[in-house]
Amino acid sequence: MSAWRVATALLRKDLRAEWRTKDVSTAILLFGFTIAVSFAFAFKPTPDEARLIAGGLLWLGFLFSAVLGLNRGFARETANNCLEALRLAPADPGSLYLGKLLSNLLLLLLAELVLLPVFGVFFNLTLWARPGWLLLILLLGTWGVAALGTLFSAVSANTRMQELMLPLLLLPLTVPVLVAAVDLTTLLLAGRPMSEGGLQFRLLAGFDIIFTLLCWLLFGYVLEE
Amino acid sequence: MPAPDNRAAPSPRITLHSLSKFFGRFIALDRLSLVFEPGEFVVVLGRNGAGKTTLLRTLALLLLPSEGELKFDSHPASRLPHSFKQRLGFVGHEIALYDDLTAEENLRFFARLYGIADGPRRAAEVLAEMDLAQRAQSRVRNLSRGLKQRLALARAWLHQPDILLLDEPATGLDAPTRERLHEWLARCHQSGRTVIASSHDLAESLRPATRVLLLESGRVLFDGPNAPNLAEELRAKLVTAAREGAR
Repeated sequence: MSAWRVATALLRKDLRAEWRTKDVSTAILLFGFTIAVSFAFAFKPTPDEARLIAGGLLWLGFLFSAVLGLNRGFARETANNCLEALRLAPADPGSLYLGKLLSNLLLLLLAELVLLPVFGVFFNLTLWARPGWLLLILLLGTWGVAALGTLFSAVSANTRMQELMLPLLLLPLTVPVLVAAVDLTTLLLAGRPMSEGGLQFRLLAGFDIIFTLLCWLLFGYVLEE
Repeated sequence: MPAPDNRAAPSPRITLHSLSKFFGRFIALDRLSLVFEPGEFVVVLGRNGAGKTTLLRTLALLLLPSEGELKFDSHPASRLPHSFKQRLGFVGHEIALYDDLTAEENLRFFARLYGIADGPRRAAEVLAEMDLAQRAQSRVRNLSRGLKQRLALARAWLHQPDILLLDEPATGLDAPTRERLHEWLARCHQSGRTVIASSHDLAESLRPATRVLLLESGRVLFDGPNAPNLAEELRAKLVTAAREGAR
């Protein structure tokens, strides 16, 4: 059976359930909005300071919101022990991983696109001056978070302290993504040429490819009881 | 629940050789050696914690044996391809269905996972077989316990497996539906499928079975063909085992 067929079945199922419940998107958006407001009042930056620190604050906001969304996203599989039905299916665990990764990635990206203007307003930023670069940075950064987050949300689903376990596992390992994405976003907001961020782009792309492959291979072991 | 009208492919012989399963220090299955012949209808009985669920989950390839060997025909379970799961249908203690999808959407989703060619048609067919056609558009969270259980059975039956593994399938079903479940299981068996089901209820569960397996503390206390007065004998064995366990 084709891995793509399984992955798209999972993706469609997750999007349909999310459309009905808004569980994941509400969690990400409310938490992201709260973080944006908190940062804005905590730092009160001038426009010049905002351009320097906004990249970091933006990605911290995305990352913390993503943790919440990833936890809730996998909760759908643990309710009624649906994970068991997935394990019973004659599908390669890698294709199940791919489906969950795609649904997490899509939901996180959509939430980030909604949160961007919120950060833009609170920090008085012009975010859409170079939309192509912005979308590329968002895609590469979010892919890295979703790739690891999908695996670790499955790991933490089988633990007693599920809500705590995911951030403990995910945040340290996504430091390279955070550093590269923050650097690139700061370059973008400062209006500097994106060619200066070649190393960071390569780092992000390399991280995404390596960790997606690694998590794809490991997902079967994680699903085993 | 009308009769399954199709004949199953020949079921594989299932062999357990000195199979044990440990959870930490707890021994759930203790060096079990059993053979399930193709087309048998086996009811697995035992007290709580006797190992029924662990046995069924191991046979469904959801648990790996800690020791010993599990084979389907001559193939060790650990080396079977993922596609082999197409031949297994399992219903556990939980329904394994998505609350926020409708009954039909759940079955269509699993039809895609199992690579069923005409998923929507098959989903509608199975819903009708389980008398759930009128609730096809109801979300699972809005179904009663009994209807959820029937839908779980529909999920396990969707891909027409040739081995059905059912962990207390009558849970939550009312008396008439339990009766129809037994008839349906008997017909599954008649179509050549291997059915292995666990139960607490001695008298009721024995009726359609051809073989009875009684487990106690992960070991086989009784293994033999079903017979008219077997329930009393098994009840006596269970009472004795319970007394010995209490000492």
